[in-house]
Amino acid sequence: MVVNSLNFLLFFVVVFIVYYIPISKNTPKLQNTWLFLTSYVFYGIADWKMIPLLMGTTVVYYGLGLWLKTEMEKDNTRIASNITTMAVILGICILLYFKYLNFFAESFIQLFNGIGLQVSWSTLNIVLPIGISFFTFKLISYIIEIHREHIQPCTDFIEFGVYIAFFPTILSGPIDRPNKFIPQLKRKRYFNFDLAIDGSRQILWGMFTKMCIADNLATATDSIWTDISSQSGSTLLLISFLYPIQMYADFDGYSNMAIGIGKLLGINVTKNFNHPFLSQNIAEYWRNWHISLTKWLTDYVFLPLNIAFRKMKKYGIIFAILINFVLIGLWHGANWTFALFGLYHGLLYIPIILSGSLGKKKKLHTNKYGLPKRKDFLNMIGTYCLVSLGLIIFRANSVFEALKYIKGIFSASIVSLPIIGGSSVYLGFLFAICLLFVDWIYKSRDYPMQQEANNTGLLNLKISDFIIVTFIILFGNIESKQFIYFQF
Amino acid sequence: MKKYIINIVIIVIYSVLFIGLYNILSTKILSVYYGLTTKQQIDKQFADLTSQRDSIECIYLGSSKFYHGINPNLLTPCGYNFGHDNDSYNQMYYKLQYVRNCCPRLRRVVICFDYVSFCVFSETRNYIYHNYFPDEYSQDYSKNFYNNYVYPYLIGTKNLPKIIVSIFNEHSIPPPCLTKKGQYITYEEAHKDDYVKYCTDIYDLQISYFNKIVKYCQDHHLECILVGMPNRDGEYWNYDKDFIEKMNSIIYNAQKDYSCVYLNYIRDKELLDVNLFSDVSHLNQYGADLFSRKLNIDIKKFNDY
Repeated sequence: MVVNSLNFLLFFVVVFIVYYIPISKNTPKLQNTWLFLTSYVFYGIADWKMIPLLMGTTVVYYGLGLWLKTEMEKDNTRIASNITTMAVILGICILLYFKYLNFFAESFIQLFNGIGLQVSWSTLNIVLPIGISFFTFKLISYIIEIHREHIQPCTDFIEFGVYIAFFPTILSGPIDRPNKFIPQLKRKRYFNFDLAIDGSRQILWGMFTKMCIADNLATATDSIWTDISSQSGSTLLLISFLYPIQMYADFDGYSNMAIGIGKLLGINVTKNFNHPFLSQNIAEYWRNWHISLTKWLTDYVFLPLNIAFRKMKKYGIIFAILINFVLIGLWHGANWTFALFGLYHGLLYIPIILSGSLGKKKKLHTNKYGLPKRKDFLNMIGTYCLVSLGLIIFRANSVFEALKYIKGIFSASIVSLPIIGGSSVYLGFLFAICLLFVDWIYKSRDYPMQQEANNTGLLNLKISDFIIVTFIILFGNIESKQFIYFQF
Repeated sequence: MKKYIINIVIIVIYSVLFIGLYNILSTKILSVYYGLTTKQQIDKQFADLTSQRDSIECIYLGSSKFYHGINPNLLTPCGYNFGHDNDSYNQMYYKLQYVRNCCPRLRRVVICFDYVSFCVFSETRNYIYHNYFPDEYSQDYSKNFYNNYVYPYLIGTKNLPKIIVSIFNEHSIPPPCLTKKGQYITYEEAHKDDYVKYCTDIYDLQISYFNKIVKYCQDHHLECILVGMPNRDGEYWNYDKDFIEKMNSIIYNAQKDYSCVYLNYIRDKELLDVNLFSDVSHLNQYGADLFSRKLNIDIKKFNDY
């Protein structure tokens, strides 16, 4: 069930109405139970066969959380550490089994066969559970946060179940952290007009970026990527520059819709993007792109590694960054292209680390016309180009295909006019350019349509709301294309 | 909550009104440049067929290749061209049933043997066909409310670029027209390098409907003639040896089991000239006339009407 589909709209209307029905005993527990049930229904519609896995892991981690707390209260630090280690290993094993087992087995066999050792392995028929990368990370962070004494374990299983399976975020994130999410479930959520209007606008903006930009651009990028060899260098170059915007519009669109739905239910969901294409270097880009994943890995992988390698000073940081980014890459899927994508971004950090500007946030300077100053603008363009190159590796089905694509760009036909047909592509391109401008103009807002609440009159609609609705009707791709991050 | 619902209702009303008004206006503008809409074409075909029901002895069923490429006025007996863009064998089967119930003098059925029709399972016109076909037709499709009832109305709103291009472009060619005998005539010109890419995955369902059609003809004592329409290089390259062998076996079985006649013009050099086509796949008016005359002669060779 795609979030921008009619089926989801009908599903959500039912969820929303029942959620706020003024029953006298409408305690947070009732609201949470309703969210728990509907989240499982939502997940079941997407992949009902995996409900036992979701439920099973939720039960196990709920129990581990309570056990961990008991041991911590008894000051059994060794047992507490062992429980945490066990929980982390279990989470990794679940991911390894469902997502990476066949990939690593096949890679090792190729390696062994390459050096003359004959090894055989029949590939297991493992079905990848939808959203596994997202809910496994939530499970792991829950145990680590208890161990770090940042949170108390949930005593209410339903509360914990809602945190793991919350339907707007289970399939494609953002990856909420327990210390921010679970406390919200403890209080009763009242309908808040301002928050609901804000959430609805954010959903509308998400639909606009997904349907008018990402899906229209997808018609071009998908067809070009299926037939690389017959494309001119200029076409491949143009598509490589359009793909980052398509990814951004797609994933940010989903995140905005998830956050908006959360707001309608009175729950704040973690922000996932912060105008990434205004970043002036790769480090800043990653602070603004898929924030919930980057922050998760920074907290639980990079920082512990950085501490472990602290004697190596800058080289220790480089080493920690490289490991962190290879993991970020592999999180997306079992393919060497993802590992290479991560490594590529890790390598781009090296000059930043060596120059000592890793943690520094560069301030954007504007000229008298309100546009970015030349140096800042060139930095943004440079960062965008590096991201575009990385996403060629990301989008390719194999390293060989990525190399073929890059080789194709630098062919003699790079000086020809790009050939991309179809009005939807031109529309997508036009809106993509507009998106970057809008991002710049409204960089202080969470999303461009965000406005000050004005709860005085009966109507709270702005002209921009009608314009965006009109754009979606006229230019939105209505084929209900799946979100790119759904596959991860 | 009440205030919020009022705001949402206003947006919904605006959207519905906008879509409705836009569809009405855009249809009017586009029909000036592009002729009838798909719905208007299909409705007109059914209306025309019904109005000529007492004189129709022969029906031509097929995909767009027939729709564009058969001029019933040049064939004896004069029948009705009931083909349409993207029609595949399931639609042809239900059209055949409709025609048989509607036209008491029907005795010949000419079916387009089009490779593409075995690889297509289109649902984009179901919102129109639902009005004419029995409920059985819908059972092959998923009962998707969006696809059946919402999508058809939303898709009409996606033609703004076409409208803009139409208004600002100089129109040197007249809009297409649908003749009283069901032939769709377009005035575009084909190019030497035209090509099209098709998915060549065959639907078993379409094979079964193809067999149902030929069996239906036999059961109801209708003469069944299968016709392979000309395929230019830009289309024929899609099909490999295995695919063509599979198609040959289907046609062989139809001939063997149901005594159908097969007239194969797929690679007829006389009919592959670029000047006979309006695009990569469809014959133009001149090509359709030439083809229809040739088909008429060939049918007469084995069956003197």
